[in-house]
Amino acid sequence: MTLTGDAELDEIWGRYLTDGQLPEADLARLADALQKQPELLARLLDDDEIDGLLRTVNGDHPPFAQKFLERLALEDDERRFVPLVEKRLVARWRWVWFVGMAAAAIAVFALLRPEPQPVAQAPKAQAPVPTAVFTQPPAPPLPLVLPLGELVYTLDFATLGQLSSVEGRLADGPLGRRALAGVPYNPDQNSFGVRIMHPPGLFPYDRDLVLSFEYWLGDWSGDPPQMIVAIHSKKRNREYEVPAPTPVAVHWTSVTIDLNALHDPFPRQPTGRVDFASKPLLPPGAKPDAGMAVDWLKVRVEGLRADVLFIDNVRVHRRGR
Amino acid sequence: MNDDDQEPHLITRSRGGDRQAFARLVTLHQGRVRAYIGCYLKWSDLVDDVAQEAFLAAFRSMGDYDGAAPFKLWLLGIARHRVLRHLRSDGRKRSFFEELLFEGRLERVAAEAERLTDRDRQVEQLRRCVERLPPGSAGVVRAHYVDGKSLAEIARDGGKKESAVRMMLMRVRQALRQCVEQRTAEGSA
Repeated sequence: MTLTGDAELDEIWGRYLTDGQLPEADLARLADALQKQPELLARLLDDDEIDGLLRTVNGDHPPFAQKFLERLALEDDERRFVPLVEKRLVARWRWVWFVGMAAAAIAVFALLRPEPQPVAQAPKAQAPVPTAVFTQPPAPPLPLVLPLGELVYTLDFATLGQLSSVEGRLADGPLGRRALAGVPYNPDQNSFGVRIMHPPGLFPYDRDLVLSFEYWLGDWSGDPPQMIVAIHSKKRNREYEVPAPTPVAVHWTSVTIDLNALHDPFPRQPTGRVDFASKPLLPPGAKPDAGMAVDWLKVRVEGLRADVLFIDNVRVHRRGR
Repeated sequence: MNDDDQEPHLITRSRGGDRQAFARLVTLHQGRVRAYIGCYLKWSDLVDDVAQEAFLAAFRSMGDYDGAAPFKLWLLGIARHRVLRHLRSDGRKRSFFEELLFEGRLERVAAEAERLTDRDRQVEQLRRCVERLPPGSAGVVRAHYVDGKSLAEIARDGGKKESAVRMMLMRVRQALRQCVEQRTAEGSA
């Protein structure tokens, strides 16, 4: 017994179930079949449920409880983290306000001060050049400049609701920008980040794609932290990473990443399993396949303890000629 | 299992905020909660995320659990609410076919409050039905659903056409569905 009695429709439905997407013409055929045979919906949903059950019912997940405990701890951290972000932002704006007020006071004083009368004086030695009272943070380096072509994907944080899921918090970031604030990612490694998820795919991967976004990162002492960009393929069940340029602190900074540099960071057996216990047969560095759906995009920062990260203006372009 | 690992004891300790005790309950029940969520959400990471959210909500609400219903059904009730919340907030663009499927799925979850016992039984029966599959079918199910192999890979390994593997999986799912329904009906009779 088949689902519809129509081998071609069954084949289309089977493809939808395994791939999660279909060409428009096939989707239209399935919709047409559902309208002609309303009872078909129940059979498709039954099949869909068994498919979902089989995906989850097999295999134990011993790390699940451990992850739960970590997430519980993260939730507690988050409760401490939000006031920390607010406190830092208030402190920074207070500093900016102070500098602004001081500059205004100096300007007013300079305007109102009576013009000094010329007095005959002995020539003086030239006065030393006054040193700046406040030092500005160093200007960020110029971003990698790549010619950009067609816009493939853009994320406006005002419409985040259209995404299936996101890790991070929508928040008012520095300079009044609505942005996605990072959340603790791995407390053991002092890392945190944001993840933008959409199961059917944010965009199809291609080697000529260029990712750009802007970030604002809190300050640090010692070595700069490492920022990593990663994408995930549901079809390959694999994550691909590329390090971003050395980050810059307390500036909204643009970064451009050549997605051709993404690679699988793990050595794998030919079966695809990561097996550190035995000698890897395939070297790390496998690249994503062209055309595969990218179902999540992640930016994480490692080596930075309890600070703030905001991400904004995420864009993916095709490289221009 | 010693007395400290008995569910009622773990529940009592969890009510007092004992995280390790609740983590034991998570270990005991994560399979059924993930399986329930997996019926409706199609992405394994999403299933895990929503399951984690459900357990977090359960831990925060342990004071509300009065023991009137079995703990596993109370958990599945919370998972059901989480699935509904997720589906209702999923505003992404869908084709007409996907919209019909989505609405059907939403309707099922919304109407399922009274059927959670059956749903839980189905998960257990499915495990047994999978164990009874002929070796060839069991191999394909394992390769695709456990090892995560694509149909193209399974086809290549078995010297078959991808479309043949797809149809074989469909027939296996239908056989499993019948097996589960039959065993669940026998169990409730």
